[in-house]
Order: sequence, then structure tokens, then C-alpha cells
Amino acid sequence: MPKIKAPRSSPSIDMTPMVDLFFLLVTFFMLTATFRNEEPVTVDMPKSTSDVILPENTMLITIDTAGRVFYSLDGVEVRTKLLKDMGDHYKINFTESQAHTFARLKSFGVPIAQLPSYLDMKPSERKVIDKQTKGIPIDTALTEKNELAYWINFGQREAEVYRQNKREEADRNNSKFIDQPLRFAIKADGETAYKKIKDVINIFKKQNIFHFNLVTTQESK
Amino acid sequence: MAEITNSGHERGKGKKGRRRLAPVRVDFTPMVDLACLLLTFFMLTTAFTKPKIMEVSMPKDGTPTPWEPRTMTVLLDESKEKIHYYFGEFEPSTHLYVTSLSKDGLRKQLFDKKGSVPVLIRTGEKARYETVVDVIDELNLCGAGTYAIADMSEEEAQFLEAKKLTAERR
Repeated sequence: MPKIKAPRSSPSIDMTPMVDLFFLLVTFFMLTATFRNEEPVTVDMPKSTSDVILPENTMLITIDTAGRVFYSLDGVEVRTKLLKDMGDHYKINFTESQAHTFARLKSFGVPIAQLPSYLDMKPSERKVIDKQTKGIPIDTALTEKNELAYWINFGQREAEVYRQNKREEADRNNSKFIDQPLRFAIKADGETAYKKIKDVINIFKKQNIFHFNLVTTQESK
Repeated sequence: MAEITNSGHERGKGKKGRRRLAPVRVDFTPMVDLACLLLTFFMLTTAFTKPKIMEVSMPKDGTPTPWEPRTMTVLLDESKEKIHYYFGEFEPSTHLYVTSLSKDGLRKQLFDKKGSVPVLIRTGEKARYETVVDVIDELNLCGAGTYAIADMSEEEAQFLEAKKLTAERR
């Protein structure tokens, strides 16, 4: 018997769910793409073939071509405590709102005397200051003028206290403790004279910090 | 991919008795392509925005660097393309070599040495950060042995100035 072919209609697939999924994924990635933090100074980093990613818990010192030094530390609680320590040391009282702003800032580069007024400003005014500022004062010896050394020292101490607290809390609750030791990073412009970076490295050395990272952009081998 | 229908509204319309419009077929393929592209773009950029780092360890102050005949000392000044270096201990009669930062420059030199070479990086007054990073990068790539960064001494700076132009190219 001859085969009777049932009339086939060309299969039409409704692509609507696929398009829905695409838009969902695009929206998801658009939202989870975190905004780059407003940095006070743009730095053109040198390239390196290293592909190790910057770790989460970092103290970052940024140095631009003119040798101006900016400081940043991860962690809202740690920053709040750090500001208090620095205020106690330099005998400056920071208000609640100033501490609140400081805890959410990223990098900053003003001498401590100007810090209260800097924190009170609006973000647009801060940008103006960032262009003119001379950065955090540094010095070769451990004098009061060497503010960077104190920022580093207190920052390191507060980060360690925070880490200990987290560890004890995890022990008490029998929960998992993810150890994130504080790392130190230097981000500098390629054209910066190495001398300026050497000064910062020497300040690190005097604080007994011998391991640190240099932030670079990716280069193929 | 989709069809826009406009049936059912045209009856009993209007004085002029409009013709019923043929159903409009819109092809949404380009839109889906764009969505695909945007998706790929965002997937890749969120992965690449994390900055990369290079790990550096400084020796503790006060530990003298042991001189070995194999020790390569790299002298850095403001030059971006030329890297001057010499081997062994510093003497007025030491031979100065010059090379570049390209694949067959410093990298080839380090490969030829076979085995880990202790390297000393001496930075001059005008040495640039980028050059230092590039040299350390080359050392990391070649798996060179230990390295240390220190200042160039006065004698070395004068030595470099004097012998810069006649350095042997390797």
C-alpha cells in the first residue's frame, strides 16, 4: 500500500520564552555589574602578565604621577573605628555624620586637619578638593607629620581586631569562619617616579609589612 | 517572529471605507541578536573589571645581599626601552650590557642562564615605576630566583652614565 503521508505543517516554534529569558539575564547582569567607585584620582597603571585578582580585604594606597598619596581600607566597621583612633591620636573630634560619610568613602587623600571639613562637603565639592589636594602627608621618619604611617598602623590594628572578633563569633556559633587576612596593595601610575613609591614602601617596611601587592592591568604574555 | 494583528476594528469605520490593512509581520530577530550581544557583553565585563595584582616581597632591611659571580644587577634610569645590567660584583672594570624589555631581550638573557639567577634591581633617581614593574614581571615570567630592589649607589650612577653609550648589546 502506498504510504500515506500525513500533511505536515512546518513546525513553528514560539520563541517568546527564549527572548524572555534573554531579557531576564541581561537585566540580572546589568544590575549585578557593580558600579566602579568614584575614585579621587585616575591612575594609568602599568601592565603585567600577572592574573591574580585583587583580594577582598585590602588596604589600598594610590599614588598618582605627581606623587600624591591616597588611602583606602575595606570594611565599614573597620573604617569607623579607624577614624576614631586617628581622631583620638590627633585630638580631632569627628561627628557622627562625618564618621558615617567616612565609613562609606572609598579612597581619600586629604591631611587629617582638613578631613572634618572634607567629610562635611557634598560629593561634587569633594571632587573639586580631590583635584587640588596634595594627598596624605608622608615623611621618611615616624614623626607626627607622617600621617600615612599612622593611617596604616591604626588601619592594620583595627582590621586585625575585626578579624579576631569574627573568628570568635564563628567559634561561639559553631559557624564557618572564612579567614580573610588584610592585604596591602599599591596602585600607582606607570609614569610615577619610582622614588615616590619607594617612600611608601619604606613606610610599609617600618611598620613591618614586607609582603604587598602592586595593582596592574592585564597584559598578554 | 511576530505578527501584529489589527483585525476586528475596521468594520463599520469611517466615511471613506478604509481598506483593511494587511497584517503586519515584524521580524524580531535583530532584537534578539542585540539582547544576546548585550548579555555576552555584561557577562564578560563583570568578570574583567576586577583589577589584577602582582605580588612583591621586600627583604627585611639590614640583610646584606650576598654577592655571587652570577648575580645580575639591573640598573634602571629614566629610559623605557633600554635596560642596562652587569654581572657579579661592582668594579670599575665591570662590563656593562644593554638589552630591551621585549621577548628576546631581558627574557632571553634570563632563559639562557639556566637555573635561578639572583637579580638585584638598582633604581636611579629618575627610574620610572612602570620600568620596575616590567622588570619584575619579566623575572616572574622566567621564574628567576630571588630578586631585591635597592637604590643605585653614587658610583653605580656615574658608572652607568659613563658606560651607557658603549654598553654591549645582548
